[in-house]
Amino acid sequence: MQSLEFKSPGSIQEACRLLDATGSRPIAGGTDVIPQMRDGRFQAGTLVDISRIPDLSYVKQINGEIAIGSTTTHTMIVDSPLIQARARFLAEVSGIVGGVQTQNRGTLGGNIANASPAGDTLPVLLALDATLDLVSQSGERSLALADFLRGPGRTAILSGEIIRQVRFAPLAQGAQSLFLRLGNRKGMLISVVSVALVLELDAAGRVRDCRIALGAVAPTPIRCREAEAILLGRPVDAGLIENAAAAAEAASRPIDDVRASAAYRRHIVRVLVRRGLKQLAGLGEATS
Amino acid sequence: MNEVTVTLTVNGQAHTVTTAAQKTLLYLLRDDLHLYGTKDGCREGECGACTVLLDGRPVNACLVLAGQADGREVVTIEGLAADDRLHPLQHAFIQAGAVQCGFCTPGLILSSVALLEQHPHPDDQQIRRALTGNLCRCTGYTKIIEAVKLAAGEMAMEVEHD
Ligand SMILES: Cc1cc2nc3c(=O)[nH]c(=O)nc-3n(C[C@H](O)[C@H](O)[C@H](O)COP(=O)(O)OP(=O)(O)OC[C@H]3O[C@@H](n4cnc5c(N)ncnc54)[C@H](O)[C@@H]3O)c2cc1C
Ligand code: FES
Ligand code: FES
Repeated sequence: MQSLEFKSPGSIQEACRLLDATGSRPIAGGTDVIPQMRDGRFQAGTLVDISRIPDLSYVKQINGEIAIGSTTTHTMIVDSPLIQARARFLAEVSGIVGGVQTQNRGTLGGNIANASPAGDTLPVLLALDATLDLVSQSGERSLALADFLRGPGRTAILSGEIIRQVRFAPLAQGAQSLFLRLGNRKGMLISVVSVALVLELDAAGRVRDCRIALGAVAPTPIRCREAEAILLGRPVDAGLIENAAAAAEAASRPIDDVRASAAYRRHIVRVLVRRGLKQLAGLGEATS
Repeated sequence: MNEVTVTLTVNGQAHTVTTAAQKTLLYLLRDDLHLYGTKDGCREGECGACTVLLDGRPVNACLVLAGQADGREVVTIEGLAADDRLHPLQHAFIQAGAVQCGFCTPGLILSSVALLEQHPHPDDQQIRRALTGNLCRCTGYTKIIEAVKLAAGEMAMEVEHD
């Protein structure tokens, strides 16, 4: 690593002031930044440690939405009763980001800003229709996560800007959610394929809400609106789920790499979507 | 070169260290404080050999910058034994034969210390989850899990006797 300055601001205002200078970049948990800095993928003259700013770390309800401060750690999300109750798959996914050590340091904002196609919270947050509140010296703005993610490692963030919080409407009480991923091993860095699902049925067994998002099968995590449309408003059954799983497979544009071939990834999308939807619909296919 | 001055408590003792800003807590402990019990296995958060407790929680010291440890409390493997009495987990790892080359052991023990603090009577699943970030290339984990259970039993007995 090259020589570097380290700053530890105590407030958001001070952080924004420090980040306004050229070559200044934020570090939160450092679980992406430090390995990337070591192998030259992350360059900064000054690192501004935002992880110690007290009013960036929280899970709370504001105006009927759930708001999560950007430096909230995965451990805090796992432990949050609010997330467990109203966005369970977010608690599930934070609980498998690396091991406990990584979860104790790694933050939600870091996972988003890093914008890896395999960033595991991203499909979940897309399924939640999450909005980001960004802040810089020149003020605040809000952006849908879907518009924030631009490509592998690329986002709409401006230099000097930080994610202040992530917010989304809580899922309905009767909605169920699930995150499934197929990876090489626990504690590993990168998913092969991941799937975030929400399903809510009305009293007659018709699909009231359905959300399907995929990770690691396109330059950014994606929502599969076509697959969702197949299910919405209809009584759920195995045939309909099969059609939705096929639509999700068709929507994915994976790449071949050292971890898996594109054809294998597409196949896995179909398997995971089918398995997950069946599980949520109570149509009994056990997850492994 | 840019430096940071860090004041931190390590194993109950306060230290003020001035060191390179890009240095990680792992090398602050090893080079500046000469505490070699915290191991360097991968420097990228994958192996857990560098696990220490930061304000009571297990973290990979290789992924914490020195400056990020300022004002905090760190516990390393050297801080567990009281006088010459081993910590029950250290004792249990020896008794259960959970140590072969020993490279992973300090990290595993610190992860286990944090686990038992939170869940004094963990089941297998809780133990496995607590140790997912700690790799062992020698033992196959069975004896490690046994050791954690053994220590949990012993620590429960100690509490009763207090
Ligand atoms: C062993 C290991 C296993 C891992 N496993 C997984 C996994 O299973 N799934 C997964 O998705 N990830 C995984 N990761 C990656 C990483 O832990 C997560 O992406 C984590 O959430 C990053 O958060 P951080 O706070 O550490 O980010 P940092 O490393 O601090 O920052 C990451 C990037 O985001 C920027 N940044 C941070 N916070 C903000 C903010 N508030 N506003 C703007 N920019 C910001 C930084 O400048 C940097 O570019 C793993 C990492 C390790 C080391
Ligand atoms: S040396 Fe830190 S996790 Fe391997
Ligand atoms: S005993 Fe050798 S790595 Fe665990």
